[in-house]
Amino acid sequence: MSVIILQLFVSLVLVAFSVGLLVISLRQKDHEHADRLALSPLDEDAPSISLPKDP
Amino acid sequence: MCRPPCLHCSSPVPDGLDRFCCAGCEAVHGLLVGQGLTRYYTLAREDVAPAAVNPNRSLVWLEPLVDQALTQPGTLKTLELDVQGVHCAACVWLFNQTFARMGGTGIIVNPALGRVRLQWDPRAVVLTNWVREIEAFGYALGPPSKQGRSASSELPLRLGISAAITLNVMLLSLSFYFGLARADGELFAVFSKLSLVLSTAVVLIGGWPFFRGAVRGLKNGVLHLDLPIAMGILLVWGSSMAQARLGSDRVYVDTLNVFITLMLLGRWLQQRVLDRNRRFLLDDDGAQGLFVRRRNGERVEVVPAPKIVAGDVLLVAPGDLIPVDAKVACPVELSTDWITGESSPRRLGADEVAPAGSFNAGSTAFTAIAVTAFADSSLVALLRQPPPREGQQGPHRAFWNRLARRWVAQVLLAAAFGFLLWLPVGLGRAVDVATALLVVTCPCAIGIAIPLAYELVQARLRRGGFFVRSVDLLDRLTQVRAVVFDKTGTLTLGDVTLAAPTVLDGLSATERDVLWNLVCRSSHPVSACLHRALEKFAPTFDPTAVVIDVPGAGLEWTVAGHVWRLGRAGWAIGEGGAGLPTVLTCDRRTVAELEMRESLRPDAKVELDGLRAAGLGVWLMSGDSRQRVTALAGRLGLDADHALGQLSPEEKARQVEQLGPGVLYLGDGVNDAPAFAKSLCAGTPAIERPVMPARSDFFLVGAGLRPLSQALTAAARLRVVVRRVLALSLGYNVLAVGFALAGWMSPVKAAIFMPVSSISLLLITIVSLTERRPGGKRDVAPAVHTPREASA
Repeated sequence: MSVIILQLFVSLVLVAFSVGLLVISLRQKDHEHADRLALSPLDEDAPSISLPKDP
Repeated sequence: MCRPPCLHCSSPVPDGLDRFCCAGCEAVHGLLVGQGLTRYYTLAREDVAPAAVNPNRSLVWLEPLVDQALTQPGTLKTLELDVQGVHCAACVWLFNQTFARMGGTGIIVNPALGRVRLQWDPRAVVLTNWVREIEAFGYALGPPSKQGRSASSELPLRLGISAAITLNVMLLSLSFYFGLARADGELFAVFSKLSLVLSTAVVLIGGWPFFRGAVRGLKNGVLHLDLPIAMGILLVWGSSMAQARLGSDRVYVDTLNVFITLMLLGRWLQQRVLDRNRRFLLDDDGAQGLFVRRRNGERVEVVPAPKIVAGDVLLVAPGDLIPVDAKVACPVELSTDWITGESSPRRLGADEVAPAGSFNAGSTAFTAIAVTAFADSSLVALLRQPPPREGQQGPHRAFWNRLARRWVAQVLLAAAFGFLLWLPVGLGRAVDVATALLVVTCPCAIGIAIPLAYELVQARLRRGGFFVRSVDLLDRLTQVRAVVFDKTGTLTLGDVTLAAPTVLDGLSATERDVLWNLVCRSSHPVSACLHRALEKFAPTFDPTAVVIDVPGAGLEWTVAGHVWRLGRAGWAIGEGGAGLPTVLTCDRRTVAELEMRESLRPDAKVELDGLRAAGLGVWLMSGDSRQRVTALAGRLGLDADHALGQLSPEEKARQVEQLGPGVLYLGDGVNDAPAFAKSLCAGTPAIERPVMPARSDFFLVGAGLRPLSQALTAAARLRVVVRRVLALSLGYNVLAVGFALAGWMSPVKAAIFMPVSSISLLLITIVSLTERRPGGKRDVAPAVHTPREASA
């Protein structure tokens, strides 16, 4: 019984946390491209410059 | 053999061009290849839009913004700018790459909002250089003036919270479905109370937009669609609370939460697609696309309208727009139709002030002194106005409102009837029946399925290059009976070019001066082309010259007893001029033959044939000479009586009005504004001149006209699907009401039937609007461009 209550509490905290993140995302107006921003840490530090190719 | 598509955007390549569909695509492709940025094509796959490069864009707006940013503390400065043309990951990548290469510290591109946030060290980066570089790729940047709409950020927040809570309530409810009962003691009590508390939060947060809409409707004496939704929410929630208080095991609030979340989703979908299309373009006043002739000593320069300050001397050619209030130097005739609605020209005497936004309706150019700067001009407010139809109650919008009102009234009547019918049996039973009626008669067709259908169609059109701006455009497109095209810039690719520019080198200085004075006083595309070509010779401007614009023929100036003419050869030379191109003559003697080149849009003929085959009337209306318009109509296979040339803006509007109520007008210039106002719906391919998209119901991106016919087809198909969905919804509701009145439908069953019917309708909508590819594979939003094979 107590374990279930604890799980409930944790799940509600997670809900509150996710809603908080949504609020932040909406305030920054990046909610429609949040997926791309989430991957931005994986970008290369310096842009790669490839050699020009003849079309 | 089939000609290979454009190397940049995969659009068809028009006759006479090689490898690229337009100069913009060629320039951008050259830049990408030259700078080693060909990964752009890999990232973009087939979604490359044709490049709309506008080399004349002024950056006067940027300097004050940069100056302001430079006052920020610290070494790194930050600036937000609006951006036009960003539509995919490849665009974002290109922005990141170019900014990083130039030494920028940080850049965040928000393609959804059309905004870019820049961080740079001014000691290492000159921001203007980067803006010029990125604009060379076909994007346009502007001041951060796009306003976030409060409703569109409110709805996703409410939707997010409602969805998060709903999922948790559903998990809690699972335990009830699997047998958790009051006999289980404390766990049941905790789960029940938690479900009720969370559902109350959903009702308050998610239901609020519906409560607000219902109350506003009632205050205005209107039965709004939100009223039964709000009543249903409150009744189900109230009865659940009452049953919980009475100790019942029937606390199925999860369906209520699903209902609220789905209704919010439908509403958000409605808003989102229009917001996205509106944000694609710069939200500026269109002033970047307005150019004015300004006297600078003995010279005449063409400058962007924002550069006009009080005291500037303007030269206003026939058909030109006056961008600021200006005092005219001589008696003139002006047209103010599109700003005041006056159809007849206004006459002003010398030293009277012409209002900003009026056109020169006379046949000669005149000078005027600016009374105000452009920033203070009333034209700015005029250009910022939404399309004239937006916000007005068009017939199609009225249809949906009428339908919603009738539906609301009938649901309320049915609920009241059910309540009274079952009242003799008992109050609890009567409330159950009334609640079931309100819940089971879900307006999911109007609330969710139909908005989804519109979203799907608009998303598909957007990918093809057709951007909807007006709420009810797709409804209006089904009423189109005639399509009217402006010529230059609409059926053709904009500016004309001089076929042999060296012809000007062969002219004497006097001849070039005469030519310069002629073209300075005309807004005709040929004059604009010659004006650009002559600038390098620094010819002399004669402020006393009186140039007569002979409609449909050309320009005439009598100087020192000699009559100079620029225009149609048959008029300028007389007999014997037939077959010659535009000529400059002196006393009917040919001084120079000025052959012009004009490219048709690649698919213009095919598309016009298609429109005519579909039973639509196709018209060509232009301010250009009758001869040129007739010649173009011949190339396009149009009847000569459907090609009208030499029309003033007012005459175009009058012709559109005479064609009847079902006219779609495609134009590209400010002088098309009166015709826009008279047509059923109007659009433009001239997105580089934001003044036009701002007043249009839709705009086209790309070199072709195919998106237009696709939109007409899609609108017709959408109407069929909408009718089907409404018919199914009506059938479902009649059955459901019958069952509920018979007492066979408890609130719980109603709450189950309602989402089932909603989801069924959504699936039917999606399947109905899904296109089959030739191979049998389904595609909800197919890309229009053909696969590129030669981008690398």
